[in-house]
Amino acid sequence: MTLTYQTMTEIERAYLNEWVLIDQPTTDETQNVLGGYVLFHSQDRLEVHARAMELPIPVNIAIWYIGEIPEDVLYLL
Amino acid sequence: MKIPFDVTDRLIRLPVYLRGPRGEHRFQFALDTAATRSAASGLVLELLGYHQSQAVGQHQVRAGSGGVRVGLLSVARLTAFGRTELNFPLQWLPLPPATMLDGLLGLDFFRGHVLEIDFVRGYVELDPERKPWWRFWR
Repeated sequence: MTLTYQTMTEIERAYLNEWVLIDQPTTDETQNVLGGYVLFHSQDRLEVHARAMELPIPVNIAIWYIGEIPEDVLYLL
Repeated sequence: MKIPFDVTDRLIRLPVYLRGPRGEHRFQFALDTAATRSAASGLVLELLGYHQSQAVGQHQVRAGSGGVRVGLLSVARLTAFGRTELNFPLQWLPLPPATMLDGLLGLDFFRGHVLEIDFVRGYVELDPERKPWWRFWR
């Protein structure tokens, strides 16, 4: 399967409310991800982490949650 | 360096670059000015190639949501706001995956710097450029 480079806008549109494993991400100077090759995506974060652990070392990846944190989740850090 | 954030989001999420034995990773940490030390989810640190047995010490973490004992682990490199720290200590937090948090950027990262949070315009800036006094209107 040939992967195509996707911009973050395209990724956000395609994988809303999912965890996304992005290979070879391009970033700006703040480390914000601008795009990359989506290797895997899932609503289950552990599945994405497991797939990332299978990648050959050294990796160059980003794991991003696309979307907003659900309304019924509150944080008291 | 200025980083925009969504003022309607539940947290201020910031992009963070981390390097460990397995390579280069980018995650989203929450800005936490109530945290004494920065922290990362154990899930994230395992992805970087670290093991919980490498975390040293047993620090009592008191949070509004309870308490837990955690160890400290130095990550090879952490970059945020364009600022790089080598061998930066992070707390190994046993966060369940459902918390949706990769980590916290706490006070130890910001000490000695000026942190500006603008909840109206939606940006966080580290060490903003000081304007001359006669440009007070901008």
